Amino acid sequence: MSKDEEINELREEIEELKELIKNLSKSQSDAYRNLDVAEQEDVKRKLEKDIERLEREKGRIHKESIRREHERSFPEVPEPPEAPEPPEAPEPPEHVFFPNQFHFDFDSEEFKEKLKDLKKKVEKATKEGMKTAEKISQRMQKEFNKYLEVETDKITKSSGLSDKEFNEMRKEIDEARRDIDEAQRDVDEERGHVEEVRRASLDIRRRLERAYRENDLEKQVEIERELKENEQDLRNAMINLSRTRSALAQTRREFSRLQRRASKIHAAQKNKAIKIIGTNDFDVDGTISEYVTKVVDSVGKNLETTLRTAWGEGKKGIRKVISIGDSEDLNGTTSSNGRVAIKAQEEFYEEASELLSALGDKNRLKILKILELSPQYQKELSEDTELKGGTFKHHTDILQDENYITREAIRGRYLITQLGLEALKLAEMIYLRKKRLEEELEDEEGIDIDID
Amino acid sequence: MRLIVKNRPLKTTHSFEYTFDNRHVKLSISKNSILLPVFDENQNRQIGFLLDGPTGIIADLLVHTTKGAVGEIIEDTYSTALLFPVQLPFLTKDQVKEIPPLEETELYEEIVRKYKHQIKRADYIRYDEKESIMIQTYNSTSLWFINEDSTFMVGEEEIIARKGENRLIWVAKDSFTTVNKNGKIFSTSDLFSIRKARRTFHSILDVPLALIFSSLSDVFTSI
Repeated sequence: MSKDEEINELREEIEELKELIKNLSKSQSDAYRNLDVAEQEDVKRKLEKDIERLEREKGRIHKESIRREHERSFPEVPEPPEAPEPPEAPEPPEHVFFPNQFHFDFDSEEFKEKLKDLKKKVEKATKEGMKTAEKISQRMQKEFNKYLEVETDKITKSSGLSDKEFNEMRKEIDEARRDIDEAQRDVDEERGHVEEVRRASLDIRRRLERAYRENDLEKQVEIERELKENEQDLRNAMINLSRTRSALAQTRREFSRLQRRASKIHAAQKNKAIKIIGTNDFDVDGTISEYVTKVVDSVGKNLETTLRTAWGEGKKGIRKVISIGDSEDLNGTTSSNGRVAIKAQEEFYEEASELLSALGDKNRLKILKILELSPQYQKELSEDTELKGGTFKHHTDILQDENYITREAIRGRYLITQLGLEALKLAEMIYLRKKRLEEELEDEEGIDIDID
Repeated sequence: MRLIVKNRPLKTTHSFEYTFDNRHVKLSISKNSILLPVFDENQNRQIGFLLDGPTGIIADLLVHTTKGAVGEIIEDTYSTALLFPVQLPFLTKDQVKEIPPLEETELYEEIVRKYKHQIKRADYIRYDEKESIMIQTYNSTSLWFINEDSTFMVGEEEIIARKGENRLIWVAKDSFTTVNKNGKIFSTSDLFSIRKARRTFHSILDVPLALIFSSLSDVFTSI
C-alpha cells in the first residue's frame, strides 16, 4: 500500500470521526435542551468544575478518573417524613357482637351439653344404621341362597337326563331338520309357481297387445278375462309363498331353540361334578358399579334431551317427526290419538322418502364417498365413478336437489354438504349393522353338537 | 376525507367477466357502463373509480371441512360501485374507451357524497395498496376486500372471510363459525352440546364419572 493511499484512508477516518463528534454534540445539546432549568444549571456547574480541573492538571496522564466516584453517584433521595400513626380505635365494649362477627365460647357448658347430645345422637344413628345394614345383608343372603338353589336344581335336572330323553331330543332335532327341508322345498315350489304365473301373465299381455293392434274386440274381451284370472292366481301364489316362508322361519326358530337346549345339556354333561358357587364368586361391587353407570348414563341422556329442548338446538325438527305419539304434530295441530298423528304426517313421509330415494343408488353413494375426502372437479369425479355425460349429470342433479352436494360457482368443483355427510354415515351405519346381525345369526346356526 | 368526481368519463366497450387471482370471486361488468375517476379532494389525487352500470359479483365463500362444506356461495348484482385502487387489473384499454364529458354529473356527485360515510368506516383498510382491491356497493352496504389469496365480505347481516383453500371465518346474526387449515370446524353450537361438554369434563377430570360412583358404592358396601 502506497503512502498516498494510507493518507487518504486516514483522512476518511478523520472525516468519519468528525461526523461522529458532530452527532455527539447534537445529541448532547438535545439532551441539554430537554432538561429543566435547575438541572441545566447543575450540569453547567459540574462542567465548569471539570474544565477548571482539566486546565489545572493539563499535560498530566491521569490513571484515575477525573471525577470521583461519590461525585458521579446520584444524590440520595431524602426519606419521606414518617406518617403520623392513626389514632387507636376505641376497644368495643364487652358482650357486644356485630352481626357479621362470629363469636362462640367453646369452653362454655352449653356447648359441652350440646356436644354430648350430638354424640348420643350419632351413636344412636350408627346403631340404627348397623341394624338396617344387617337386615339388608340377611335379606340379600336369603335371596342369593334362593337363586343358588334354583340354579343348582336346573343344572342337576339337565345333567340327570335319561338316555330315552336324549334319544327323544335327538329325534326332535332330526324332525326339525326334516321340517326345514320340507318347508324349503315348499318355498321353492311356490316360487316356481309364482314364476310360471308371471310368465303366463306376460304371454297374455303380449296377446292382448296383438289383439289391440288387430282391433279384434272379442279376442280382447277374452284375453282381459284371462288376465284377470291370472292376476288372481298370482295373488294367491304370492300369499302361499309368504305363508310357506313364514312356516320356514318358524321351523328354523324351533330348530335353533332345540340346538341351544342341546348344547346347554351337552356342556352340563361334560362337567357332571357341579361346581359349588360361593358368595365370593360374585362380583357384588362390580354389579353395583355397572348399575350405577347405567343410572348415570340414563340421567345424562335425560339431561341432554331436556337441555336440548330448552335451548332449542337444531335437532328439534327431527325429534318432532319421530315423536308420533306426542300431542303436537308437524302441522301444529293437536291430536290425542297417535294413529291420527301418524296419518297427519304426510309431509314427513314425502320428504323422508325423497331423501332416502336420493341415496338409493350405488353410483350416488360412490359420489358421496369420493367427495367425503376432498372436493372434486367434474372430470375427476366422472373418471372415478366411471359415469359419463347424461348419467353423471342425472345422478349429480338428484344429489344437488336434495342438498347432499353443492357446486362451486367459479371453479365448478363438487363439494359434499353437512347433510350429505350425515346421510353417508347413516347408510354406512345401516350396512354395518346388517352385517353384524347376519354374522351373529350365522354363529348361532353354526353350532355343531355331539350328543354322543 | 372528501370525495369528488371528475368529469373525464370512460365507457366499457363490451361486457366481460374477470376472475380474481384467488379464484374465489368473479366480477361481471356489463357493456356501456360509465366509469368516472374519483378524487380525494384534500390530497388532490385519484383513489379509484365510480362504476355506473349493473355489476355482478359471484363468490365461492365456502370450504371443505371434516363435517362437510361450510360457508356460502354469494351472488349479488349492484347498480353502482366504487372500485379501489386506481390500477385495476380488469380495466385496460381493451375494455374501456374515453368518451366526451357528460352534460350532467350532479347525480354522480351525490352518489359519491353518500359513499363518504362508508369510506369513513372502512378507513382501517389500506385501499391504496396495489395487491388488494376494494369494492364498495351503493344500494346494499356490502363491502368486498379481495387480494391474492383471500376474500373478505362485510354484508348487512354477516361477515365472511376466506383465506386460501381451507380457512374460513363466518360471523352471522346468531352464530360464529371458524374453520382452520386442517379442515376442523368450530362453531358456537358446540358450546351447547352436552355430549361434548361431558367429554371435555371427563378429559379434565381424568377419571370417568362412573368410576367415581363405583368407588362411592365401594365405600357404602364396606360399612
